[in-house]
Amino acid sequence: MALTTNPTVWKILLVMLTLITIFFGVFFFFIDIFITFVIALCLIIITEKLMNNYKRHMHKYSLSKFMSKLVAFFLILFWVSAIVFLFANSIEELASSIANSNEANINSFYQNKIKPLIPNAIHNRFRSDAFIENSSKYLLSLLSTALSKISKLVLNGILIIPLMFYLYFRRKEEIKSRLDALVPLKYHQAYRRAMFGIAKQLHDFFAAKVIESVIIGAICCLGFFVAGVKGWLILGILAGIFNIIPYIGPIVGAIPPILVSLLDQPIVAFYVIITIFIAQLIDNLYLIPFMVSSKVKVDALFSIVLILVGSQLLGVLGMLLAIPIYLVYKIILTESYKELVRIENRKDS
Amino acid sequence: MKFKYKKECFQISIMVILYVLLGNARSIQPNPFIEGANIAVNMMVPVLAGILFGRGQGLLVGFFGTLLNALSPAGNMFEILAIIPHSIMGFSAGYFKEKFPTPILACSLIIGHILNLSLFTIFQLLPLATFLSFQFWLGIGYEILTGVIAIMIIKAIYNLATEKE
Repeated sequence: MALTTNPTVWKILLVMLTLITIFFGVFFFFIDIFITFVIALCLIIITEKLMNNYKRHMHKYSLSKFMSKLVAFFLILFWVSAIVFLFANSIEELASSIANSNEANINSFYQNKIKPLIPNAIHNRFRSDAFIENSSKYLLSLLSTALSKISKLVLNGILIIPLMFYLYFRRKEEIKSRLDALVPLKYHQAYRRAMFGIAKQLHDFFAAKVIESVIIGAICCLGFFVAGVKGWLILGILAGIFNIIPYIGPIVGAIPPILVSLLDQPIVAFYVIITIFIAQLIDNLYLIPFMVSSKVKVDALFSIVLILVGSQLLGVLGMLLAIPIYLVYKIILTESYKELVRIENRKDS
Repeated sequence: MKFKYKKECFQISIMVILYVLLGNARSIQPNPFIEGANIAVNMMVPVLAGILFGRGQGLLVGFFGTLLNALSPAGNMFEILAIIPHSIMGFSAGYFKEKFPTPILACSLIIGHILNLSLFTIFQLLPLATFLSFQFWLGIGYEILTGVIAIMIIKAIYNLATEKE
């Protein structure tokens, strides 16, 4: 289908593009809060799915509304306590593993296992002893920084996430009607159609990626638990989150558990690699073909370019968010373009 | 001639491997209430097999998983005695699969623990005085609770993975 030559449509799209870019620009300025918003969005999607499942199951037992809510309340209390308990244990384990580790672990592993395999000529040429010492110092500081960042995110999350949940589940209709009231009456139908299309596509995309991440995270948690990685829960969940980044994500997700296991017991790093390999096998053979590919359509080369641009702008966070942000732009602008063309064609006719 | 139980055999094999892996896991946590005892994470696998796939799978995973684990490096006399209790535990979880919600089905762990403790006592692996200790029952309760939570989480993730739109 040929693109429209109507200047009004392109002017409006340009304004929308600028507004979306400003929106993301502001968010990236307050990056910690933005990450919390994204996490809250993913949690809202998971919660909505669980709520719908819960309502479907409770329907079988014919409980009164009060009893259903009471059961739901106790279930939520139970699960929040369980999650806090599990996370607290995992963070403590990870933090103590990093605190107790020192360069000696990596150095001794290198001296006993790796150095005998390297010819002396190469060892002397590249001064690998000094390299290993500097690398292990850098790795330790990187891990400590990462842990403190995670703690800061958790603090932001405690403040922002409950509010977002309240706004979404209690005030959703009110917010929608207020936005509707801003749109001129003659564009109401077109606006509703566009919003419905945008919301559905964004929801489908994020839901598919969240479910994929949850499953990969669960497989990694299980594998790391069996392998004996300290802080297996946090690291498994991180591996699941990083899996969102296509092609490079699994490698990036494997780095923290490998580093932590190198600091603790280097042989465990080998088991971590096996776990990541099995998780990726399941992801590529089952999850992507049957769950994700129908909802997410991005050209492979283009997605790699996007990830590289994202990493240039914002580092690891940019890599994580490059594809979702591109899809937000694409969906909003495509749906808006379709509706604008429809409106302009109706005006002309 | 086509083998008609291919899917069931695959399910049982995966769960048996999972049982043995968890039995030999390096991250096994000690039970904070019972000195010298570890949380038997692998006990939830036969229950899971029963809940997810049915009573036959629950029974066979309980039997073969425990048997193989008993022959593995993590095996001991307790594991050998646990073969029948774990089989019964897996079978009961699968038997009531369609009748009760997951948290109730996960409480099949209680059946496994009761049968285990009975056999351990009969074969004098556990002194009778152990049962008089409140800490001991607290430890058993803690293990059951951990197992129920883990089963509920895994069931939810399994539903997510296999849900058809």
